Amino acid sequence: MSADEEQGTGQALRTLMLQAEVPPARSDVGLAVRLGRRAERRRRITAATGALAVVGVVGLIATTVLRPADRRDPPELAAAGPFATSVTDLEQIEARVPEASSSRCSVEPLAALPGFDFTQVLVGDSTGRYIVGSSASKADRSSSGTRVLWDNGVPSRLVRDEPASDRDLSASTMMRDIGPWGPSGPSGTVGSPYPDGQARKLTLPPGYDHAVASAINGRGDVVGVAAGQDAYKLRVPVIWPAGGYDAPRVLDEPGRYEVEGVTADGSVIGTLVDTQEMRVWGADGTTSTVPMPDGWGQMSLWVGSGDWISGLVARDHDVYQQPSATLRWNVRTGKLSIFTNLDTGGVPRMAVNSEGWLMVATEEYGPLLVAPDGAVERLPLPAGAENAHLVSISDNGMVTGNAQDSTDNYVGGVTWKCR
Amino acid sequence: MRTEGETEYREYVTARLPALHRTAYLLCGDAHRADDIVQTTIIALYRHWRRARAADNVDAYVRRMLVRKYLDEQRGPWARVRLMFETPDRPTVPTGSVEDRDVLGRLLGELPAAQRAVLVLRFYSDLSVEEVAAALNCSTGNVKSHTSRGLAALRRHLAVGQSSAAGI
Repeated sequence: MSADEEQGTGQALRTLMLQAEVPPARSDVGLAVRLGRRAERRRRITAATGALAVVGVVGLIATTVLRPADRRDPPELAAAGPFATSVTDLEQIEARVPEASSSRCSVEPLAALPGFDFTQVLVGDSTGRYIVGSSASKADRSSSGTRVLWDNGVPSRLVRDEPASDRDLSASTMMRDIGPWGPSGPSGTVGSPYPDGQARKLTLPPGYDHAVASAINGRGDVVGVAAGQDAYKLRVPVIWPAGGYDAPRVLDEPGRYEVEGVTADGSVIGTLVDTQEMRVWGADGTTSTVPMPDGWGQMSLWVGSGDWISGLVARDHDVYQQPSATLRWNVRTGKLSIFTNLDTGGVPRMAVNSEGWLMVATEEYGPLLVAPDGAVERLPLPAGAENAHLVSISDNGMVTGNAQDSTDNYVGGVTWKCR
Repeated sequence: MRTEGETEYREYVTARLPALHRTAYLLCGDAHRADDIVQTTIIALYRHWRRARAADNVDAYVRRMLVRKYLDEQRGPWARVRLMFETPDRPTVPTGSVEDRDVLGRLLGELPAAQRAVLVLRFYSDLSVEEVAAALNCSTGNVKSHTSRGLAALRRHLAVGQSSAAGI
């Protein structure tokens, strides 16, 4: 293209940009001030307890080396009882968050590929063995990276072809290629992150032209939603059973569904957006609907595992304008715990494992681990980090995430292990 | 932050919010994501206001933060964070006239994140090659090549759109 052509195209682009209609901004200065104050308070607490945390981390790294994470086979499927159709036990708890990070927990950076400098976690599996993410060198950090599979902490290239372009490395594209957690294209391509990184194709249900896969259980059942042209209003919950990715089953009539998780026995958990009801499509063919608990106006479920699901609730629709609270729900017993002071700023930054251990990255306290009995532990941060974006928690309690610096930029992938 | 600084911060952000939002929207092409990028940026700005207000060019400092938030979001698992309560929209293929108000988003949506950032900073924010390089923390050569490739990719669609709009 000649200089004149370039100039002409640039001018046409500028005109389009200046004339483009932009929807009104919803960003909130007051909210920024509130969260900024909290972050400052958190930083002061972190600084005050830093010395204590460092002592704890040093001691525990030695412990971890001597006691490598035990491997565990996936839990046997328990005889499943019926699903709850109501909230049988609602507890609203102000969690007691300790001032210092836990001396039982240690944090370790993920090893980069040889010749690379940075790591970033995208997802961890339920056994704690596999982590998928990327690695980049200083030179290409701003635009590229290489897909990596960590097997028990040992990195290897996940895709052994040429490094993808930065466009190809967007998280959703990576998820489409390597794991069924992200939006899929018309072909519905998703894949398994292990053992060979080969993508698998999901067949779309007849009459639908795209799908979003959102969760997978230990045996490989994939769940999500499929939609046609009017995806905003109508979509259907779908399960692609393990071994039958070419034979998806549509679980309900079209509606505004979100599918959030799948239990070990293949029961599917979702939300009916319009009514804010939680719906469980049981593996036995039954359907249960659970209304949102009284006193809350908005609910968003997030990562689930086993009979548990995590998420957040807010008093009203606009979750960004007010504190949100973290929830943990046992879909089998109906027990719902709402941790009223664990605010993620309206962003679903939490996950739960099959034994009910909840991890949550809060605005005020940083990364936390919540035991099934509600006891809270503060996860230590690596040197130079002020918070972390948590990604997953495995069934043996290993937490994976990305440490963040004071400007919320990632400084590297890390794992936490607690004794 | 002291009260005086907080007042300054509020005044600055309130005045610049529309411009920041427009830039974020052009970068990512989605109103909700633009809100998220701007919100994250202004929260970080609160924490670094003293440093920002001491910068030679506060607007450039904040713009740099915004673009990096956008690029970080493109790379990181934040892209996995869905718009609350809604399924992500499908990507669309650019077609039709430039009069279609979505055409710009479609065209830019076809570009890699870094290329798109370069074009928005150069042709919307009106920054020089050197200023864009500083904002993106890359070389001027990199900016030039992104500009050239980005414009070449857009040129065909822009030309087709203009012809179509003119009834040719």
